[in-house]
Amino acid sequence: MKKGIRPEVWVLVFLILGLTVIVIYPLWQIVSRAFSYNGMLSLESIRQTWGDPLNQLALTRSLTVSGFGTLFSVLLGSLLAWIVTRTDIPHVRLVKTLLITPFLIPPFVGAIAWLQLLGPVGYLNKLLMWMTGSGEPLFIIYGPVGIILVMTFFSYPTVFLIMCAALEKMDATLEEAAFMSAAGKWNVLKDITVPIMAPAIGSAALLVFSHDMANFGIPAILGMPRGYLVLTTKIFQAIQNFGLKNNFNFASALAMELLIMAITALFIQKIYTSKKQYTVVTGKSAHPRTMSMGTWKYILFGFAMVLFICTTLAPITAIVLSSIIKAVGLPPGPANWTFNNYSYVLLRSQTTIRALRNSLFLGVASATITTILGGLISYYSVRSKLRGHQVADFIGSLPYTIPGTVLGLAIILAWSKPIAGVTIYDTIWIILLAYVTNYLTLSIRTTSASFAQIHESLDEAARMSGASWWRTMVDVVIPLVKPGLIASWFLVFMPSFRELTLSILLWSVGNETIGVSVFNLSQGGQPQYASAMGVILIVILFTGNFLTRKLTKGNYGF
Amino acid sequence: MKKAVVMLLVVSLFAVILGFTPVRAAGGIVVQITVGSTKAYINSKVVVLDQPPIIENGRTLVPVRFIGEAFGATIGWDPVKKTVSYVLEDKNIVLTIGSITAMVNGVKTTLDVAPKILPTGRTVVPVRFISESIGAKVDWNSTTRMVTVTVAPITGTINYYTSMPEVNITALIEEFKKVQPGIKVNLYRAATGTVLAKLNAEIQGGNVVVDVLSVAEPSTSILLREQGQLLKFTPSGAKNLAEQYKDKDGYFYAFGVTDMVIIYNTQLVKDKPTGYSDMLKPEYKGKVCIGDAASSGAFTHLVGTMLQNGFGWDYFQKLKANGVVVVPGPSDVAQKVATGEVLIGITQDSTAKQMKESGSPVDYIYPAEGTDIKNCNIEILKSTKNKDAAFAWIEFLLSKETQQFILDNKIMTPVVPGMKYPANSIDPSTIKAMKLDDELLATQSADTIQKFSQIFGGA
Repeated sequence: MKKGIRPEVWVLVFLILGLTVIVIYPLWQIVSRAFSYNGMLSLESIRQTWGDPLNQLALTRSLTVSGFGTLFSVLLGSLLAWIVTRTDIPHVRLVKTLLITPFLIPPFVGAIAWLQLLGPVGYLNKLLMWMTGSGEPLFIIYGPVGIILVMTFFSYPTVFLIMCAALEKMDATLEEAAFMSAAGKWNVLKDITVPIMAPAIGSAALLVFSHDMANFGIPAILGMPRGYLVLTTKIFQAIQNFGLKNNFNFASALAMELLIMAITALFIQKIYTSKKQYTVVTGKSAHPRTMSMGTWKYILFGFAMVLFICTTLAPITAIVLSSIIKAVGLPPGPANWTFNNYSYVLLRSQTTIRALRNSLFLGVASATITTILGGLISYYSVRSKLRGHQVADFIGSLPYTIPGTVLGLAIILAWSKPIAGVTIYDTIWIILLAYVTNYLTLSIRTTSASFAQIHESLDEAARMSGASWWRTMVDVVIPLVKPGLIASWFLVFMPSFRELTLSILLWSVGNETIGVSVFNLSQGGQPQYASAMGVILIVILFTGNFLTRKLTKGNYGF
Repeated sequence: MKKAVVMLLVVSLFAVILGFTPVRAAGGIVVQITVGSTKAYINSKVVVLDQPPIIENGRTLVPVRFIGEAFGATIGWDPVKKTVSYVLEDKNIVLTIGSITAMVNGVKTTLDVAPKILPTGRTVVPVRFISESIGAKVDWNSTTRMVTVTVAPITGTINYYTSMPEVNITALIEEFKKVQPGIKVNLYRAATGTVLAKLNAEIQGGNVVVDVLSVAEPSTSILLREQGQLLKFTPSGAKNLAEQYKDKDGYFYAFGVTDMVIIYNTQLVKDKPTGYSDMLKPEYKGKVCIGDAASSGAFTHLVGTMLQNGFGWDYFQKLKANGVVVVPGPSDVAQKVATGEVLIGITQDSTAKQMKESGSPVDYIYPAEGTDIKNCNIEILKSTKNKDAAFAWIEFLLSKETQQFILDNKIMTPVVPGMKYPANSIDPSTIKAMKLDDELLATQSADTIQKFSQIFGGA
């Protein structure tokens, strides 16, 4: 036995200290302002905002769209993951790649594309109107239905990815045993697979729910025009009212609602998963076998393809069409096509190439840092017997629940002043810090789903053979959770690369991100330029993904 | 003969006053004057004086109007107190004729020689004192008896936050680089609400990074002034600006004007609208569009102005009953009209003009009830670390050349008089303006936004 403090303790202390600085300090800015009014400690801000019936309505609406959005995403994502990992549908690798492509579309670009498809004068609506001879658009995308639809389309890949990783690592012997006991496919699914997957489903649901509650872009584009406001759009309004005294306090008080809900949801998930035993990666068995679906496999394949067309192909087509139009409002025929928009964006604008470089750096850096940090936190949360091991997980998961706008402001409030002579405000480092703070939870949730399935006996076997903690990690644990770590890296890289809400507040000249670049173009009255940038971005993401798969022989990438 | 001399004097007087442009040139400014000579040089260009410099008590005195306009200062004269004021940006120098006591930004200073009025009627002031007070370098050549006053070229960076469309601002910055290559303008462009939220966060966080600000909502300037965040200054062109374009206390100035117009889709609308009341018509139900007063400064101002001009909140209630679509800002309104998603809406004239010109099926009218003609203000934050660069940027924007550029590129309506309007453009004086009181609007803006959000946020 080695004397002295074990390395685990050092690592845990380091994690908690680090989290305090990265997470607690900015969040404190929000909490302290929520409980202040006119500069003094007071409940007045909370009383005025929580008591306002319009804010209460906004809260109900947030819960409604997020609840349904989560439900549909989880159902869709889990179903698809099961289809891809447990059935014998044809072209399974193609399907898996195609289903994750919504990740490659920036949500801001996507929401606009959906508006172009299904908006009152969208291509699809116009087509339907022409077919049915109706004078009014058949599908109204504004309002809760549209918000839930678009949220589902953008969130299901997260669930899909997490569930795929978990399903692939699951011990097949349990299912094998059930099959050998003459259980039907349906019973195996119902009684074995789903209950074992419960923690993974819980993790994914929690992630999606938090994200949907904190989502601003989609309700802003699809809800605000018709007066359907949710908590995030209400907070946004409060922040912008410059002349209103205490407006930051009101915004913070509303943000507290989101924070409280997130904490509650986290607790529920902890209680639920701690009651049962879920370790199923015991190092003893082979890959799960795929079930034969008979003719159903073609139907399922068709279903996946239709989904791909709806969630990816259609919006991409819409935005490509918009990028080659000469001016807004002209009919999309070839007579009005031009490549001017692309030439402006690629040649005349200085900011776009720089933005691409910045976003690439930010994506890689934030993915790497959060995966390492998140992985460590998950490991401790799941494995360690030390008191307080769950605290790190809990703290790390908080920032994601706060709307990006509020988090961005909290970060400005926390870090705009120089610390020990060093200023990170107005540099690219504050954006990186914001991303790590914001996306840490993605990594924690993804890796904890994987860590939970590895039985302690594997660790113990290594330690009893004399391996140090470090060796155990490197030779035993990490290889087993590798799919989780890789999934986590990509899960963080994608949103970081095309992020908008945080960078719109924290960017400065020379540090623009792609999201900011596209957004500024669309706001300046040049939606064609924004569409052109959007298309270029999508092309880059697809190409990058394709190259990654080619270079790693299909092991990494979507 | 006498008549010819008088004519010459009058002409040269005009030449002195109108002949040169007091803009800080790219390489700084070099002024050369010789005692006893009427020939002076500004950046090597000859200028004829009507009063040569004199020497008294070993100090050189020069005509105040010349040394003022060479650097873009505003000269004032109080005949009762017999004081001359020399105001350049944020420097206020007051001299009293015959007195060796002067005031520089309120601080008493003693001179070596008093300013005086010569028999020719011209006022002369000590050149070294004035020059060094404005930060210029003074050199004296005792052989040629020439005084050289040098203002170094300005360098550095300024952070400029604005809600103006990026394309327009980028074009202006490119022009600015030609005039002031040593100054870098870092642009942060976002919607008014976002810019203000960021500014607010910087103020509360204790580190204000922005140097110069211009957003679409003029009462923001007033709010900032009341909070004590702004720097008081006087650009050289200030005296030519009409009263409505400058702050009474000198904390901000308009460098352009935008009008809110009614834009409509030319393919789908048969009867051209005439005013705000048209937006309530049943045939436009669900097809009317305005911007959100909470996030768009342009609409905060429009709603506030309409309230001051006989439109009550019931107009907006009726608008809501008519199914109005609320979008983030003027550009979004214009886009929705262009695509036909809505038929009619309110937007900024510059956006409507630029869209119409690029081929979108839109046109616009000025509302019969009155147009919201809105100043686009620019101001300097007190905490700025590069005052001179900030002054240079604003001098540039207010210069005749830039104002003409702004007009020619349909960015805004210029505020400086004497612009050349294109042949078929509307004479601005024919547009009926709604009366507005920006000071009053400022005090009410928070409530306006709240009320607006209540009406349009609870569907």
